[in-house]
Amino acid sequence: MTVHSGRLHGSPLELECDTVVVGSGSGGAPVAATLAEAGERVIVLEEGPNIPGETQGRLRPSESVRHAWRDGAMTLAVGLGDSPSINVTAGRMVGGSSALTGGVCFRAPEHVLDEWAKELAIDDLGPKPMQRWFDQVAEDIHIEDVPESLRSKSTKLFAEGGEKLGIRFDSMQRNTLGCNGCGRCNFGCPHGAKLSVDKTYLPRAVAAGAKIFSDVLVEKIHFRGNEATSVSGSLLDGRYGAPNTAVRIQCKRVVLAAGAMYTPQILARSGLGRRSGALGKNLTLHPSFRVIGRFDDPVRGWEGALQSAYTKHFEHDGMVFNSVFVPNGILAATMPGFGKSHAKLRQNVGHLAMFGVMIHDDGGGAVWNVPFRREPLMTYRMTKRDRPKIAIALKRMAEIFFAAGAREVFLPVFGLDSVTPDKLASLDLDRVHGRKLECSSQHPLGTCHMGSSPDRSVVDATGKVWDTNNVYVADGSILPTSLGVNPQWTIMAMALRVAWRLKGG
Amino acid sequence: MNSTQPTSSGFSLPVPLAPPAVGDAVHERPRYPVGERTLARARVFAEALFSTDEGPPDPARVAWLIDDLRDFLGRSGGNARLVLWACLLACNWLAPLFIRRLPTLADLSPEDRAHALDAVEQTSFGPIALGPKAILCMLWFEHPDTQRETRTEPSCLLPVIGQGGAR
Repeated sequence: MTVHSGRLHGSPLELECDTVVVGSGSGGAPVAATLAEAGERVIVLEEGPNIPGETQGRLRPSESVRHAWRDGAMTLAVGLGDSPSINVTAGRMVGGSSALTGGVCFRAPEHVLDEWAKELAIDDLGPKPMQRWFDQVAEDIHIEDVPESLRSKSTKLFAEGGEKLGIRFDSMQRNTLGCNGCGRCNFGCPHGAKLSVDKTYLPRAVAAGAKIFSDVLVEKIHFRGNEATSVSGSLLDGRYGAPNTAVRIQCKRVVLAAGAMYTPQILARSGLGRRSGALGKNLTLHPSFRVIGRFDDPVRGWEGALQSAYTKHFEHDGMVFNSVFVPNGILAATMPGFGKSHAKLRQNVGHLAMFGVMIHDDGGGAVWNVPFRREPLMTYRMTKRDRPKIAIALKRMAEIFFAAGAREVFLPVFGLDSVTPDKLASLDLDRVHGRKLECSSQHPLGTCHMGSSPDRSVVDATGKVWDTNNVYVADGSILPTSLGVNPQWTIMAMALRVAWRLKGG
Repeated sequence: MNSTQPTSSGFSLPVPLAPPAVGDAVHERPRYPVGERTLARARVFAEALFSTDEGPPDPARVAWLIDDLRDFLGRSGGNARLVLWACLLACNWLAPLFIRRLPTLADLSPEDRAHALDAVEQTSFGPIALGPKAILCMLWFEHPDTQRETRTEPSCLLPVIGQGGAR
């Protein structure tokens, strides 16, 4: 099943179809499969390259980062005020970020769906009506529990520490089949065990007649009145992958699924979404922090499932503790110091365990178009409700590591030496300025959020962009609020919901 | 709204998408040329970062690192190159000021460079040192000798494409 390369097309790409889907990740792929299987002529345009599973499994982590991650994982949301600047990572390949996640799947929490249904007055966003979409995705991508036997020692140690403090850990769910715990899901599964959309929805779409083009940059939607008639952009076939040859796809309908960073850019360039002033605003990121514990015995945290357990214990405080691990080089980079002092620490990476915390944040960020630049600027201001959660979470995690027997703990604060239990007790983490905190995010959401009023939202309850007849959004940008849990299952469920309405006419 | 319940084609084993055409695989594509000055600054930074009690790191391993960095930056997109260029430039000129020395990081011994960068890391300017540190550490730990020394050999990676990885 072929992916057509925009790089090798060799002439202007001019095609006609029923629906053009911009983006091939967790949002675009379910839409493409659903509409193609309903008999529509579907074209999927993806900016990134086609990196099939076998190749992904042969890439070193840094090679995956340079080839498949957007901008070599160096995208930053600039922190405003006392907020940390946040490293936001995303995939840029056929399959989007779905191919680079840890595979973690959570249903959107009931209280979040309840809030969407009640506050936005969109009844079918409630837990009960949404259930069928979640169930459908679970079946399509094979969501299963991570067996305890796949937990890495890093995860086991943290869970043991937590249980000593009365904190229960549960197994996560992931979209996998036959995982053997290689611990490198973020860089492409060597065994094809992670069932990302490039292994599920996209092959289904192609089998049903959809055409996928890689290396195509979409810049603008064209209209006759409120009716979108085509999208235009460029094939990335210039020198070193620069935009060069023209692309024009005539279509009856446009579905944008370029993600929360890029969908607002395309809408803004097309003159859409300005009425409410909400376009590009309401960016939530699930700011995440990693805490590391050093143990006397080897941990080798890369052996086992990359992500396998979590605790709901702090859910009502707006925090979820998730198991996670990173390549040893990145682990070493988070150790303080340079030269001799750093050498001693990096020698011990095999003895380090790691756990992460994700904050269920309010929409304090924004995506801005920068004149004459392709990449948008992201800014993030943490709300007063969220900011104190950082200190609470870091302290709790350090306590859990100490309960598990860690000799010392490394907190994500630039230049801070390791802490012992005594030092932790005297450390005032509330006073650490945001600029000194090392923070990351894999979940940009909410920049074209759904709503029931054109004065306060970008898309309506069906995912249609207000003031257009046939432009839809079906990615993480339409989520009205953050979830507090990993969003790929919810994004796919929302995308199916959009697609099934379109299929029904 | 179509009221029909969604029906699944049923879960089945995944069917892989076909590989790209010859010359279109990511590691076969031409890479953007990276400035020698940027790479020289990265070498200065790496010599400080990876020095040990025994002195600066093995020049051959540093040469491998810088060659791999050239490939990394040549394929990582314009923003990545811009960010790393800016971080290295700032470290080169600002870091010596933190230990009251002049003019650039390259003019200091690897030990003094390490002190200067350490001082930067402990201030609010820490993120400018973290960018290069993260990338260089990630690449450094993929060198087979580093993996042997730190006992961090990957256990599941399929055979790499070509010598030294899928460039």
